[in-house]
Amino acid sequence: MAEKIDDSQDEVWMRYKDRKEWSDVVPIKQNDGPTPVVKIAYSADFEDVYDYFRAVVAAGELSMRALTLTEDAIQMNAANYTVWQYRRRILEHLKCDLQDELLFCREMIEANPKNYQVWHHRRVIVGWLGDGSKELQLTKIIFAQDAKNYHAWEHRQWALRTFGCYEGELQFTADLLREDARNNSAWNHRYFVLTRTSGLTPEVLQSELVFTQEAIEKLVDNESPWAYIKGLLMDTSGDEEEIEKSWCTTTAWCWNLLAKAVSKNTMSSNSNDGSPDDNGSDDVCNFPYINESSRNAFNGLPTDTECSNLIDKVPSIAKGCISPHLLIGLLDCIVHQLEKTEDPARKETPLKIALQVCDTLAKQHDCIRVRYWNYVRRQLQHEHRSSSASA
Amino acid sequence: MDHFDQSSLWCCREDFSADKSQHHGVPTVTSKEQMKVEESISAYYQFIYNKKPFKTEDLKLERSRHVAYLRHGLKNLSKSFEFLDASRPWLVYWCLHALHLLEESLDLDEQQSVIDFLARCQCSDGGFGGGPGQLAHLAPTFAAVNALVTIGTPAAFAVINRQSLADFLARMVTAEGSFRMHEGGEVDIRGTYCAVSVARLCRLAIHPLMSRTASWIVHCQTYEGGFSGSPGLEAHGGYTFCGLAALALLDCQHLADNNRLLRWVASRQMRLSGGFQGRTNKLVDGCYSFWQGALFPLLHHTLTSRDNHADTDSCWLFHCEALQNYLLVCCQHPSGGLIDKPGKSPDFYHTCYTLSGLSIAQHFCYGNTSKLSVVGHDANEVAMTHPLYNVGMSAVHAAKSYFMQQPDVQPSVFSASPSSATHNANQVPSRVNGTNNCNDRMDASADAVTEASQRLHISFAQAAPSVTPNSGCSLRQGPD
Ligand SMILES: [Zn+2]
Repeated sequence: MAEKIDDSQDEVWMRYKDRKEWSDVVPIKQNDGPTPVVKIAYSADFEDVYDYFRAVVAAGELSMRALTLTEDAIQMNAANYTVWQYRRRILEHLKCDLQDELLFCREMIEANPKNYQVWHHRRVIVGWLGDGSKELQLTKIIFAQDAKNYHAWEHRQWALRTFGCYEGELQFTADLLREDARNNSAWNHRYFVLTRTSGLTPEVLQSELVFTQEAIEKLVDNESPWAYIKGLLMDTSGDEEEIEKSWCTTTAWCWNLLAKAVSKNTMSSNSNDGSPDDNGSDDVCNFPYINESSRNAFNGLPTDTECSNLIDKVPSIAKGCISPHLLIGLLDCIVHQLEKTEDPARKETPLKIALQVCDTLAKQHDCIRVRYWNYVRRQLQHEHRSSSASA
Repeated sequence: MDHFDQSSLWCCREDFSADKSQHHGVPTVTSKEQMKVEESISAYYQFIYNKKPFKTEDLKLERSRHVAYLRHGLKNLSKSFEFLDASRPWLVYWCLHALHLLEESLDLDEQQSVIDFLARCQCSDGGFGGGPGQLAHLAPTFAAVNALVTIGTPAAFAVINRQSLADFLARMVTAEGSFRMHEGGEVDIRGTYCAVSVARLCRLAIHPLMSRTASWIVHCQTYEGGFSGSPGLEAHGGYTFCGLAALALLDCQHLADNNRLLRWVASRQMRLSGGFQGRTNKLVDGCYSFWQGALFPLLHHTLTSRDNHADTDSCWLFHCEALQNYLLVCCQHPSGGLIDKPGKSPDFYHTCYTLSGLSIAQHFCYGNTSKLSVVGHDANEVAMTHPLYNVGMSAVHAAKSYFMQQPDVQPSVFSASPSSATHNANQVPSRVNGTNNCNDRMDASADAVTEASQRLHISFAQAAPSVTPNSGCSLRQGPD
């Protein structure tokens, strides 16, 4: 058994150069040359372990003692991919018990959850074993500390692709999103699961729209579900008419959200000067919670006039009191509508509204992206005005 | 004379507080962390706001402190750097490139030391390892090549064994066209970018080695618009840079959905601070100033070649001033070196990539137009970096002309993995003949440097200011 590196005083670390069982090996110093740069002041223990590691590699020794040496080397620097690779050679050569290796690997993952090598090693070992039954649980443990750990997500998706077992996976994302609806990794994973199981069909789109719209209604100012909804609408394939219907209901739903936000803010706008409260009190600028009764201010799509009237009120809403994501979501719907409309006369009002939304985003509600929104504005003007002129 | 309109600064805008995040009645881990970070950033911005009278001196890049930090690191590192013992060419590159951006040069002895050390990291069968005697790995290979190119002397260029490098790349390519990081190592989009970047910079032939690479990269673009480390994962700043830069270097940028990508990356600039986050609903981090910021010059190229609406302001399509504001106010450590966000300690990685992002934000340069917009003190200007390779603009051109005079290099044995159907394993390809599935345009161009990417390089070159030659959450570490 290799001694573990331990901070506690009771266990004494013995250097390899002082170990009898290693006396036959001549350690090899690192050759940094006469004028080294980025020279690390290695501890004596670190140098000792790596001097022996170099010697073992040079001799091509694939032994049990070399395996424990790699463990010590990894404990000192888990990012040393050369050591990990050599360790795999030894494991293969000695036909070691890979269950032990899984335990070691899990310890290393928990100690270094953001390290590429530990996760890669895990995948190699699990692949050799051909048994992925512990992997979803392992990632769950890591997500308990950091639900956005990229490596853990990569590992989970690898396990799903390699071993199947997608059952319960949608529910898993729903659980994470109930914990934190802002967890974009969970939204992304939901998309991954759908594309690898049912595929993005009009029926799936329908039910996902319900799920996502509910999430947005609880928390309008959350970019993740907005991006998800747009991705679904754009990427679903199948019956065009069905997909178009989903665009329409989403558009109507956006207008309803806006109507609610506008009415809420114009009601309270008399009571203050329009600048949000510096204490960040949520009462002043609360985004609307939509309940069933307020869900349908409009029956189907609102008329052009109703839309124009609503949009005209947006610039008077104080910055911070309406979610830019709502405005952007609405803009995406209107742009889609524009692209589907051929009659130039019927394009006029939606185009005017779209340009207004770009303006209010650029000047007031999303100033950091002023250049981007001005670009989108020019782009829209160019595409849709010239097409209506040429028609 | 040294007094300017303070209210024009992003951090001094009057409606600053309206951009603060809120829980909106639903506090979660994400919103709690976000608001905590915003609080510390607000304190820094408030400090600048309260400075009256305000002088540009108050918003200064602390050049000499950063230079001292970097010069020291280039020589000696403490025991605490043992965890980077397999990334030493990175440490060299981060220090060298950051020094270059600060317009600091190395003397001949220093240059020679770096050259000698990197030569020791080169493996006999090609590529560079993380230190002497380590296995070749694409990430330190990228770092070593960039560091040598930054030095930019024939002696530095000559270290790179192009033949064995090409052989190494050929051993790392997978049947799908992606690259593994090292023998037996992991596959992701970093490996692909590193491979494409060194191949282009050293003028190695990319056909047929990389004929499937572009289509693999395209599979990494997500519904959000950014790219992920491998297909299916979440869009991420570092990986998006790798994806788009690699596509651009392969002259296949048109295969990406550039509109969706533009929306995604524009949305990553943080409303309150002006810095960039790496993923949706994550925190601001100074290093994304480069990973996200450099996407704009690349996108500018595609968007303007499609129509000219992108170009009217002679600015990249993000808020360059707000980003500079964040970097100067929040990312300079008082003892030298730059940082991720307030409260963090400096490191060489963040020093390199914050300064690289600052460079992108200051220098607009496209076609015949170049415009400098430096926030704060005039002396804050840093050298211009090349947005595809992230080495100095002049160094890229010196490298290309040096390698242009070297013989053409093909992998001596090109064998993609055995499952590759279209490539005949062990066949020695003589010259390019497009056999593959990327796209016509790519295959049609037989020359290693294709027309469009050359256009991009030249357009950056033309407007490049005269820089003294050789004034001299990463690819390495896991994403945050
Ligand atoms: Zn960072």
